[in-house]
Amino acid sequence: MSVSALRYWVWLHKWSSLVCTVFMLLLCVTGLPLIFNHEIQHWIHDDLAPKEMSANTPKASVDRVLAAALAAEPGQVVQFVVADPDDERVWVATLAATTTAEKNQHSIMIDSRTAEVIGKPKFDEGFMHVMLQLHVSMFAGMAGTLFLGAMGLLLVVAIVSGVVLYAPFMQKLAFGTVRREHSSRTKWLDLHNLLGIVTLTWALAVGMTGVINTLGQPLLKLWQYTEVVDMVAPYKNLPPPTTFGSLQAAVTAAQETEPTMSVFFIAFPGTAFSSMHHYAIFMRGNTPLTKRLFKPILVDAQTSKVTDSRAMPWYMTALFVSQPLHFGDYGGMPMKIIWALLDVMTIMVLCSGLYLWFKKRKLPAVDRALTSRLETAK
Amino acid sequence: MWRWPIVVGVTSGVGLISALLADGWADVLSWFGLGLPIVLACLYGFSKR
Repeated sequence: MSVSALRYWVWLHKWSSLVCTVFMLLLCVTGLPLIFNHEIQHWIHDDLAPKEMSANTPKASVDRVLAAALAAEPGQVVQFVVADPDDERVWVATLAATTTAEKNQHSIMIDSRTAEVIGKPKFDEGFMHVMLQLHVSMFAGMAGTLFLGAMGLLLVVAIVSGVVLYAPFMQKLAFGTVRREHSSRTKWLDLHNLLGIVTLTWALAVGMTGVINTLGQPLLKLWQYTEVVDMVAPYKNLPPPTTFGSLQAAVTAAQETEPTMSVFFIAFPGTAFSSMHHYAIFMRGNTPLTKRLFKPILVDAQTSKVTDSRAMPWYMTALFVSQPLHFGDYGGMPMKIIWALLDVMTIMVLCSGLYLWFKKRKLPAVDRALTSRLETAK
Repeated sequence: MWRWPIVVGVTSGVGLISALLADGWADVLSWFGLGLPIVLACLYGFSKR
């Protein structure tokens, strides 16, 4: 590599890293407890467990589940009912003052076999809520999320430029060399290179899927304004219904349409995921990959007849596939522990990078960009 | 110079994808694939050899 090319890559690596490092540190630190979010939530809400019953206890009608949710929050309406992805004995209903309210929503856990209320978990307060909000948007809404997405893109630039620089820095050294007998700066340079190169694939995967996740809300809106609008178009000029048919009949109709899939999520008429006239029932598959891919089935809320069902567009599929690759929640507890260790190693890469930059600033300004290369060539 | 980086890059890539495609053996494969970077970091980075 020519000296001018090397200078360019050093410049690119330095500035792409420096700009995003503080935010990446925030994401790595807040992401650490979020890897174990499910376990921590279970631990916090350990009183909210379904009763032990025989494994083949049949499920209660969803109409009873709905009635239990409404009775537990008088004066509120149900927006969504979600099947707990990790525990089929549990439905979680979301209620609010109106079908479109985005604030003051309440969650109610309901036993899917007895239709009894298990409890009312608070998902919007406490330590994990703060971690999640810092991680997703730094409490700055959509702007914060998109900003973190831009920082994620810079991380990708930093990783790629780091790989380009790996060659000139390591050409005289065996893989994994850490020169402990040299200066502290040399030792940390070697550790930075070692930890950076071994975590490369994982960090790129988590970084890029994180960027895709920051586009989740805009992509969802795009899907709603194009596909959903198209699916409910035949109902556009009809007055909103005043009476609703059985939810269980709607769920049964959806299940008959996709017999190999399971009900994951039910959006009620008037909510953002449906129309005034439909229950939107989102089905999912049963393998590690397909259980993260959803297929909406629109069921007429009065007649309980399926009116439309179509696969999600490619960008929603990309979003759904990118989520497990970001969360690390698809390979059991060992994978979560590995995810956490790789996260800690990434924190070390970030901190050592900052340290190296800080030390280099103190060197005489002859040609800082090339110092390390000379050191290596000695 | 690139032998180990390529090996660890490919194995962790296989580890990332395998657990998505199946359960059981594929999960175990992913633990080994994604565990390799940690093993290498411990062997070279954090041991006093």
